[in-house]
Amino acid sequence: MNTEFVPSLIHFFGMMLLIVSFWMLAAPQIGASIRAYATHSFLLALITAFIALTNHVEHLLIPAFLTLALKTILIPQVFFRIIRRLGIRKEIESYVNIPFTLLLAVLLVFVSFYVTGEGKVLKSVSFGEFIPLAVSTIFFGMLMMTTRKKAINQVLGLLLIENGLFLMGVTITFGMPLLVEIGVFFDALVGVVIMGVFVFKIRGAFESIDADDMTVLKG
Amino acid sequence: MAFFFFAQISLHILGAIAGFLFEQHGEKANRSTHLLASLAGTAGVVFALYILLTGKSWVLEIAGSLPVGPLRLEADLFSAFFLFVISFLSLATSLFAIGYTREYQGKSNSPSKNSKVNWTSPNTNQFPQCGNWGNPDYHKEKENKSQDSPGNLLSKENGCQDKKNIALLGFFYNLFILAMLLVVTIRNAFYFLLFWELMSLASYFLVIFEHEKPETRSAGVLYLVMTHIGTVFISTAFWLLYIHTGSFSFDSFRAGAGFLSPVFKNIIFFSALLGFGTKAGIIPLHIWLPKAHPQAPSHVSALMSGVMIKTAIYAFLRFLLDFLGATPGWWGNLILAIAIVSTLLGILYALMEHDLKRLLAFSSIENIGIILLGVGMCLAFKTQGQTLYAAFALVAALFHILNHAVFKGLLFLGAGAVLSGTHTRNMEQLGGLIKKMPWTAAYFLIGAVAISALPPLNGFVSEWMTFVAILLGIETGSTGMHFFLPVLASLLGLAGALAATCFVKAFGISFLGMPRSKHATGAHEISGSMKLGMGILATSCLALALSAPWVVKILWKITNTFSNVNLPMESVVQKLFLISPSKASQFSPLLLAFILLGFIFGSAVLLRIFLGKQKVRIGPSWDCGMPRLEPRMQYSATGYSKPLRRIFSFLYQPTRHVELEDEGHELLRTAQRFETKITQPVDEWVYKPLANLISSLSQKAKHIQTGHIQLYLSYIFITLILLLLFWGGHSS
Repeated sequence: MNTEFVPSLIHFFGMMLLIVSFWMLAAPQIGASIRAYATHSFLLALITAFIALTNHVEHLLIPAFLTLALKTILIPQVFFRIIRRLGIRKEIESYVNIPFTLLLAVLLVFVSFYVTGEGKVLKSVSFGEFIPLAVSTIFFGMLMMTTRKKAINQVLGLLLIENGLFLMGVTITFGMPLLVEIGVFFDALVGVVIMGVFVFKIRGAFESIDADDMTVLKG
Repeated sequence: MAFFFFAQISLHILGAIAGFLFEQHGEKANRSTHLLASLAGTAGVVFALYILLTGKSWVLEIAGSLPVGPLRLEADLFSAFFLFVISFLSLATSLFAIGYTREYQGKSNSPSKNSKVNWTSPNTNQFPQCGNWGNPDYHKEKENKSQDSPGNLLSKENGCQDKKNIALLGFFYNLFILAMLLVVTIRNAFYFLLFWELMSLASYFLVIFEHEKPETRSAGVLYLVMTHIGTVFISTAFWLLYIHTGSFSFDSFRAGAGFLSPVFKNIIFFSALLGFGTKAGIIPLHIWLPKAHPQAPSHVSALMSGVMIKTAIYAFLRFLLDFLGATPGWWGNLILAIAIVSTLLGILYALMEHDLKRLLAFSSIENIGIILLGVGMCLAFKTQGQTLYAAFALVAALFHILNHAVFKGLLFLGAGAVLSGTHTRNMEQLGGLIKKMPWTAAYFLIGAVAISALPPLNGFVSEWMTFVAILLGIETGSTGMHFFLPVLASLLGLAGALAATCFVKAFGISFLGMPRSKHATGAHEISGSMKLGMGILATSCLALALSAPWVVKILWKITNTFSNVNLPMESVVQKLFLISPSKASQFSPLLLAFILLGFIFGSAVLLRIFLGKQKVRIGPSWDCGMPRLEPRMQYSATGYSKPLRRIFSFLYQPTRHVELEDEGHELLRTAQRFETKITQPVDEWVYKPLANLISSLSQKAKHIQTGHIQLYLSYIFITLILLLLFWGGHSS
C-alpha cells in the first residue's frame, strides 16, 4: 500500500459515510433504516481502523473493533428483535415527507461545512473534511429525532448522533483515551437496551410507541 | 463583655434545641425553650447596654475558607442599639410566650390534664382549645358538631385536640431572634444575605404555625413571595457594590463609597429602597404585612412588627449613611413622600379593621412611615450640610424605632392576651373585657395611649422630635421645602389624630361596654408570665418617656459615629429638657408628667374640698326607658368608624350590600343583612393588573409547551444550528 492510496481510500469511505447517512434518512422502512445504520457503523469502524494503521495509533484499533462488534452487529440485532417482538408496522411515519427530509439534509450538510470551514474551534489532525462530516452526521441524527413519530426512530437518531460524536473524536484527537472510549461504547449499548425496555413500557402504557401520545403527560 | 453576647447566642441555640429534649407538645418543652430565650434576651440587653453606655465597640472576625471573605461580626453603637431593641423585646415576648403557648398544648388555663380522655366525652360548653382562635364561626361549628353522628363528632374532636408541636415553635422562635441578632451585627454582605434569608424563613415558618387554617397558609405564601422579591433587590444592591469594590466586606463598601458614579449610586439606592422597603412594609409594598403578621402566634407578631421590620430600616440606614456616601437631595424628598403616604394610608386602613391584630399590623405600616419621615429629613439636612439638624432627625427616627418596638410589642401581646382569653380577634365580638381582664386592659390602655402619641408616654416624645425635625426644615430648606414641609407636618398631625381615633376604637370597642358574644362573656384573665412580659413593656413605655433626655444622649452618640464630628450634646439636651436645635422649642417629659400628675391630684383634692365626703352611689345605667340594655345597642366597631369612612370615601370606595327578607310584604320584614366593604386601591391598581399580566404572559408561554417530544428536540436542534451559524462561522 503506497502513501497515496490509503488516504484516498479513507476519503472515499468518508464520502460513503455521508451517502449512507442519506440512505438512513431516506429509507422508507424501519428495517432499511437499521441496515443503513449498521452500514454506517461498519464504515465508521473501517475509517477508524485505517486511521489507526496509517497514523500508528494502534490503540484506536480497539474502538474500531468494538464499533464493528457492537454497532454493526449487536445493536442492529437488538433492534430487529424489538421490531419483531412489538410487531409494529415497517413503514416509517414522519411529520415531513422523505423528499423534503432529504432537502433539509442537504441544507444541513451545507450548514455543517459552513460553520466548520477553516475552523479554529474544531481543528482536525488528519482529514479536514471529516469534521463537517461528523457535524452533519450529528445534524442528521437530530433531524431524525425531530421529524419521526415512532419512539424507536428517536433511538436510532440518538445512535446516529453518537456515531457522529465518535467520528469527531477520532478525527480531532485520534480518539479519546481508551477508557473513555470503551465507556462510551458501553453507554451506547446500555442506552439501547434501556431504551428498548422503555419502548416496550411506552407501548404497554399507551398501546402504541407513537411519541405523540405522550402529550397526555403534559400538566 | 463579649461573654454576654456569646451567652446570648449560645442560649438561643440551646433554646432552639431544648424543646426537642422533652415531650415536644408539653409544658417542659415550652418552659425550657422560652425561658432560655428570655435569658438570652437578658444577656443581650446587658451586652448592648454596656456598649451603648461605654461606647466601646466589639469585633469578632472568623477567617473562613470561603472566598467571600471573613465572617466579621461587629457591634458598634448603631448595631448595639438594634441589638438592644431586639434583645429587650424578645425578653418580654419570651416571658409572655411561656403562658401564651400553653394554649397550643391543648389545654386552656382551667387545667384539665387528661386531655387524652377528653375527647371520648366531649363537653360542648368547653372553650375551643386549639387551632380555632380568631374563628368567629367557631361556636356555630361547635353547635353543628353536637348534632352530628357520634363517630363524626369523635373524629372532629380528636382533630381539634391535635396538640401543636411546641418544640418546633420554640426552635423557629429562637432561630428567628438569633438571625435578627446576626443581621444587625454582621459586616459582610454575603453572610448578611444568608442571615437575612434565615430570618425570613424562620419567620415564615412561624407565620404558618397554625397551618391548619387556609388563610394562614395563603398569608404564608404571600409573605414568602414578597420577601423573596425583596431579597432579589437587596442582593442586586449588594452585588452592585461588590462589582464596584470587589469585596463583600462592609468596610470596603464604606471605603469605596466616594468613587461611585451617580447612575450606579441611584440604581443601588432604588434597589435598597425596594428591597428593604418590602421588608419594612412601606406602601405599596406592604401587602404581605397585614396578612402575615396577624397569622403568627401573638408573641411572634410582636417581634415581627416590633423588630423584624426595623432590621430593614437598620440595613437601609447602613446603605444611606455608610455605603453610599454623599447623597443627592431628591433621595430625601422621595423617602419623605413614601413615608407620608405610608403613614396616612397605614393608619386609615387600620381604622377600617375589625380584626385586632390586623389593625395593629396596619398601624405598624404607619409607624414605619413616621420612622422614615425622620430618615428622610436626615437625608435632606445632610445634603444641605446641616449636620446638626440631620443628627437630630436621625435621633428622632431611632427613638421612634425603640418606642415603636416597645409599644407595638405591648399592643400585640395585649391582642394575644385578648385572643387567649376570648379565642377571637374580631372586635365586634368583644366588649366589656375590662371587667374580666383588668390587667390586660390596663396594659393595652398604656400601649394605646403611647401609640397615640399622648404625653406623658414615650410615643409622644419621638413624634414630637419628628415634628421638630420637619419644622426645622422650614427654616433652612429651599422654596419647595418651605411649601411642602408645613403640609407634611400637618399631614403627620392628621395621622396622629387618626391614630388616636383608631386606638380609641380598638380599646373602647374591645374593653369597654358590654360583652358582645359568648367569647367575651367567657373571657378569663391571663397567666402570670404573660402579665410579667406585658408589664415589662408597659413600664418601659413610661420609663422611656421620663428618661427621654438620657435616651437622647445615648442616641446622640450613635449619630456622631455617622457624622464623624462630635456634635455638641447641649444643642439637643439640657438637663431635663429636650431642645430643638434651633432653640425654637423645648420640652421636658419629666416635668410634663409632674404637671399632669399634679393636675390630677390637685383636681382630686379640690373636688374633695369643695364637695366634701359625698357617698358614691352605684346604680344601673340609665336605659332611656327601654326594657333593658343589650350589647347590640352599643356602638359597633363598624359604626364607630363610619364618619371616617364617609370623609375618606374617595379613598376607601366603600361598597355596601343590603339584603332584606320579608314575608310577602315589605312591612312584614323578618331579617335584614348588611355588609360593607372597602376597596384596597393598591391591590386594585397595582397588584391585580400585575397578576393579570403575569398570568396572561404565562398563558402565552404555554403555547410553545405542546408536550410533543419531537418539538422540544427541534427547539434544541434549531437553537444549536442558529448558534453555530452566528458564532461558529465567525471564527474563521
